[in-house]
Amino acid sequence: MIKNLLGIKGWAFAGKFSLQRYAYILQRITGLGIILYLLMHLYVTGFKIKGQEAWNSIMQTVHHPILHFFEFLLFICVIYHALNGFRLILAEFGIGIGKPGRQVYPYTTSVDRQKGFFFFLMFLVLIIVLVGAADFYLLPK
Amino acid sequence: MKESKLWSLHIFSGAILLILLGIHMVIMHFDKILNLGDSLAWKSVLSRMQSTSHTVIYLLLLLFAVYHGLYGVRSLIFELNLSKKGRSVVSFIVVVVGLVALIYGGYAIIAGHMAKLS
Amino acid sequence: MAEKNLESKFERHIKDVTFKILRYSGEGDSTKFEEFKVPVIGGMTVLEGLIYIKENLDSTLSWRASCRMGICGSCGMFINNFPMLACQTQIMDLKSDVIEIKPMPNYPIIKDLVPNLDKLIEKHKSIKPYTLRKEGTPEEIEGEFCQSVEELERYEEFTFCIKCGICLAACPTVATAEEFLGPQALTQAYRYSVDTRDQGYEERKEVVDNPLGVFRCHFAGSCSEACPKGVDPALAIQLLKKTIVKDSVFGKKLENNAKVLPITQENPKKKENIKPAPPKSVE
Repeated sequence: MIKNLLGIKGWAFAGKFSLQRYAYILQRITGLGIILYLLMHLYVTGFKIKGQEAWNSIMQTVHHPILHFFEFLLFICVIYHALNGFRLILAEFGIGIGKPGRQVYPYTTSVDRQKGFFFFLMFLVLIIVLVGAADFYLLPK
Repeated sequence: MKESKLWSLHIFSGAILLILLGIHMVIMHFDKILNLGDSLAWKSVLSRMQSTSHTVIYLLLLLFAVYHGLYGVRSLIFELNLSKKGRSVVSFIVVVVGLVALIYGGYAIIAGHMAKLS
Repeated sequence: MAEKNLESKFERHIKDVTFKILRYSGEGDSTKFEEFKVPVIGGMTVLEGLIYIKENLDSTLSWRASCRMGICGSCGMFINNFPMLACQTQIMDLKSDVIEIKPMPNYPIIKDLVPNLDKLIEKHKSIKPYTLRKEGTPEEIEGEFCQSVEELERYEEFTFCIKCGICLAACPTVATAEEFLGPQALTQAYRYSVDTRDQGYEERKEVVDNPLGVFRCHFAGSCSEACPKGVDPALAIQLLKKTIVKDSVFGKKLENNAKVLPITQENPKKKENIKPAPPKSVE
């Protein structure tokens, strides 16, 4: 017998599923990114208790264009994770996924019922990210 | 503790973070659009450090973010076909990392608030 | 003679489709794809294609099937990268000239397209998929249970599960965590717990509320999308989470008290003057 477990690649791809499946894997990746950043963030912002000198020097190191870009990526991650997480919290308490009832072919599922809301949230993510991008890159200091 | 309680706390902290992290994000990243002044300049960092409301927000943010994040990491690792012993090792490591982060972060926030900096 | 029959059978022949099937001998761990050309007629299902191959091209090909009409849940397969029932999938609906068939993922392969569903059945049994009573069975309390339509609709959708195991093949959590209960078992845990005749919620909660239980579901929704019977496991799991959190955090226990009516000896609607049945014509 072969075990045939899909393994970690099964998180990302297990067949041709709809967008919520990819929302799920993105939620994982962004979550991991954010928690790693959080630990770094605690270390870096901890410099503020040593006074202005220490703060300015650490800020100078952090203000590297590549790091700045990573910060922007992280900003996208947080916005996505927050709004998709909002959808998940609602779903986990049974809001917006419909009620069980008599199924008639063609079947509708909780995933379909939530699709509109999902697209709305993704649109919101796009708008907030665009506003953020303006703040990150376009506007002068 | 029962998994349902830990998970409920995870969801609750997520809901709280939605608000607190929202405030944090607006202050830090929409500062130019809302004309709040450079949020990373020492002057504004100092003013936030000395304001009580910000200190409270930061403490809550730290507590909930560390819990929410580390519970998420734990549940992710739990899904990797670990043995029962492996799972308790992971839980232990997660608790230690969480405590270190909370103590270090809490110290930085409170010491920053107390310190007479200028 | 046989050949002539075959020709007449394929009069409505539309096109030839290549079946690309993952073969596994049952020993060792080497698998390989093998290709078969199958003439397709209108309305032909993937299962019928497999039967054609077994009858005419390669009799060593193994798969599992029984009813051919989506009731028995034996023929779950991974067809063109989507887990579905071979008997309910028409070849023309797939809209491709090459059909790739693999055994369902997340289950051990026994041979060719035959998965080992032992784990599924084990998980299903572990949540006690039958009505548990504290206050006695209908025979003991001498009555019959009343259930309103609303109460029925709370779980009716979830009773259509045929244990084909497709939801576990679709589930991303099962892909890495073998011991995770999986959509099928969790759905049935909810289905029996909310049935007003059942009083076994406490026992099922013990099984479901643990580190590899219901809370490892993250609502990717793949189970609901893949389910061939419209059971919607994702919905049941979210409702189960809600029920358990209500109980363990807010202390609102799920309690079922179906009304019991005495068994009436005489049917009030029984009509009088019905002619007696005709005498038996066979012994």
